Amino acid sequence: MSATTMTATTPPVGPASANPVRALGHVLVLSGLAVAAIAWFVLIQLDGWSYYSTPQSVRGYSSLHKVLRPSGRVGHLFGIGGFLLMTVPVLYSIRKKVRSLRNVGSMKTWLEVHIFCGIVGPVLVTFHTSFRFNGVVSVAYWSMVAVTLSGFVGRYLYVRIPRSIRGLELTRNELDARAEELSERLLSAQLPAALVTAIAAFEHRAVPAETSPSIVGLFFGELRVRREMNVLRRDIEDAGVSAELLHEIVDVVSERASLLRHSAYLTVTKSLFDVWHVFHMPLVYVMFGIVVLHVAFTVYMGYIPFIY
Amino acid sequence: MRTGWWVLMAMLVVAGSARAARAGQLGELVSPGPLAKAHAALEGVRNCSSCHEAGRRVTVARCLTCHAPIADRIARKAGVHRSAGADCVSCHVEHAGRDAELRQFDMRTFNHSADTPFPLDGMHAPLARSCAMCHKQRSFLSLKTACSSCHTDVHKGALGPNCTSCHTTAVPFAKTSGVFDHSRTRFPLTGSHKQVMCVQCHTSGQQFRGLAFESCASCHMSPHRSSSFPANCATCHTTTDSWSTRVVAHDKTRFPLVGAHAQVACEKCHVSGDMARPIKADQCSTCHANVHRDSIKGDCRTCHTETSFHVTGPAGAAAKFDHATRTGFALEGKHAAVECRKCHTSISAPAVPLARKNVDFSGASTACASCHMDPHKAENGMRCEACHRPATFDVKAFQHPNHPEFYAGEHATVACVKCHVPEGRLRPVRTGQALVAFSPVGPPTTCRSCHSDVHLGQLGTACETCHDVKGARFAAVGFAHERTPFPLTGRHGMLECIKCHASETADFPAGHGTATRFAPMQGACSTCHKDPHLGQMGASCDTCHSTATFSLPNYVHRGMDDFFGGVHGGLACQSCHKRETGSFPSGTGTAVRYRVGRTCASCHKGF
Repeated sequence: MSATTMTATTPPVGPASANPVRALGHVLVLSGLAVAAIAWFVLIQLDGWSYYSTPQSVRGYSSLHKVLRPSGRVGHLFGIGGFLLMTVPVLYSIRKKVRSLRNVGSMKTWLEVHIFCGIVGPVLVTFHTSFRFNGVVSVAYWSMVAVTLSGFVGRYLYVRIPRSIRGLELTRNELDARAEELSERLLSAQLPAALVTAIAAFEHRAVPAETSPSIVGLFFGELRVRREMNVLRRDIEDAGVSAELLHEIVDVVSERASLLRHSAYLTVTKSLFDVWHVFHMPLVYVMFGIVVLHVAFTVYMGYIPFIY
Repeated sequence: MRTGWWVLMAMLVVAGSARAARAGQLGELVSPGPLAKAHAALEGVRNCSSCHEAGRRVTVARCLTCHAPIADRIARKAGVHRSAGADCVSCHVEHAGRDAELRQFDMRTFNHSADTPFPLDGMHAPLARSCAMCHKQRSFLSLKTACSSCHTDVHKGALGPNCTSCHTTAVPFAKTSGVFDHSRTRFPLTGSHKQVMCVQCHTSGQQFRGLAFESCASCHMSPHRSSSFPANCATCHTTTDSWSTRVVAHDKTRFPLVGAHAQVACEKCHVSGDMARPIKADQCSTCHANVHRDSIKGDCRTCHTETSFHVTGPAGAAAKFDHATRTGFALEGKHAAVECRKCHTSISAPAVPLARKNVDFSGASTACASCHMDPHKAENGMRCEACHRPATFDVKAFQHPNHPEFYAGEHATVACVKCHVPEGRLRPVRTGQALVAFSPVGPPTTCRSCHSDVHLGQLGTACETCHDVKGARFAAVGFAHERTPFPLTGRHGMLECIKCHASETADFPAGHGTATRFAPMQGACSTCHKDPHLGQMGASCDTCHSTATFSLPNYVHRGMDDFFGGVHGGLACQSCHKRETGSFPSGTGTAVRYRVGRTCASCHKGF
């Protein structure tokens, strides 16, 4: 018995870019590139590495001090740029809450911009501090760091709540329907019985059996699933299917496993996401409150860029 | 749940701020970092305005409100801040931590001379290694340039506040005496005073001012007991010599010390030790013994000067003693340099002590023989000066009085001994020359008496026929070949003699020997020339050839006009007379054949 291709009889699954999970992954890559570019510019191009590694007590006598200190020609711009970038994620929050802004851009785009600015902004602010964390303004800095790190957790939870292309959450029924659709595509491929058994066994191990699975499984189970997916891939390869079919089977099995897992963890994920909001938000107010004071104080003292 | 978070956050912020405020550290909340140690007292939110001015950051005016000495220096454009700009913080960075250095400068490159009014030179130079060796306080400006800022005045102020009038940074304090310029004081040190240690006059080691020095007696004690000495030591003594000074005012006495007298120690004359006791200075014999015994009496100054007793050499008495007028025997030539005792033999040798010295000039005669031996054993008479002069015994100047023509030319330069040969045994005389006999009549003046005949009798005995004393190297100036049977004409006149007259070893009239052959000589051409015609033409060469040249450019065949009238007249000689090897009258050989047949077939083959 030989396996036949699935594409001839079943409609294709939507393009990968339409998957919100993958889209956010691209934002992370984009943000990483931006951070790397900024770091390269500051540390290598401006020789910031030698400046920041100079002890603070003698840094004042470095020729870079005029440029890279918090109130320096470039250092000050880092602060202003970081501040402006950090206001963008707040706009996302406002967009989410204010009804009249509902039609201003899609939520997915807003979220992508939110994540990008929330990663690049803190990096600029970090260079603005010149790695000196004194006074009350350091509370704002560490609040920002906490908010940023929590943002990564939030994204982790967010992408585990299945959504439509427009970013709206899917109901459990919709999830089940999609899982069933994928299942039928697998069956239509008329895979060898041994392979079908192996796939079934993989799904059994990947998806928790209990009705209210633990949070630990949510965060760490995926590593195990990924490992087992690799084992399954080798099994499928050993079955002698074509490379094209192999790719397709793996895609379908992966998506189905994710769907089933997300569906199983949906309740846990959603409740954690609610709690996360409570943590993510208040530190933002602390941060902005102190930063406004910080800016007001420095402006009062005369530290206004380009006026020297 | 959300409300709880809010409350927690608010509490944290309020509690943190309150704690900071209670601890008086509210400043830390807005401070970008701790102030440096020097500014630690300015920590705190109430002191921000001590440095910061609202809207104007950290202003120079605020800094200089406290740092007044710096303000003064900036205004005067002096010191490190002489070119300071209008921004303190461009150099002095604050809020960099408690231990941060506000004034960073490199001690190794800091130029204390250029940046401060106090260059670290001389003994101060090693201090540049560490500022703290002098700058005990934090402010560098607290130290003054006055020496007393660092040094203790061991003179306790007695010498005034200006240390540099005596001390320099070039030498340690202990060695100041070595460089102190005493000439700036009212008592400049000269001569021996320069060698005296400071403490020998400044006995306390502390008193450098107010020392009495108007009189020598302030320091020195007079050893002279006689009251005849003047009170002023400087009349006799100076600082440039030892106490045993000769620099006394002897000029003021009746006997000024001149020449060698100036070198004599005082006690040599003042034997009593009492300088004031008079000495009979008008008589040399008061001090000097007369070494001439009875030979010379009277005033010594007739011969001697005060320069030296020695009577040789230009500086001695001999320069003054006129031997010519006083003795009638002028010392000229070599006599001028002869020591006195070479002639005046009774004079003692120089090594003899003065007490036993005899300088007796009597007894010498003006005759040469009184000093010189006669190597000619009186055969030339006793008038030595007839040949010799005092300048030298050499008699080059001698002119033979007779036969001047004989002693002219080449004979004039011949050494005497070439003719006046030594006779008998040779013995050395004082002059080192051999004993030479000079006959009163002289040797015979024939050539043979001195010269041997190199021609071995070929040319007779009358040498003067060819030779003359004027001809150098026996040139035959009087010879003329025309006088011989073979006058030299044409090319013969251009030949060297030796071409014909060769040297040969044979029996000559005077005997067997080697000589240039002059006579007898054959006049025939074949004596010198070979016959290239191999006997074809006979022995009379002059039939065709002359002494002018061997070539025959215009030879005319005689009696053959008809033969040479046509084409034959234009032919070259060798067209008929060919060079060939064969039998000729004088034998077989190679020559031009002159005798050729007159038949046509002789030349025109196969005719």
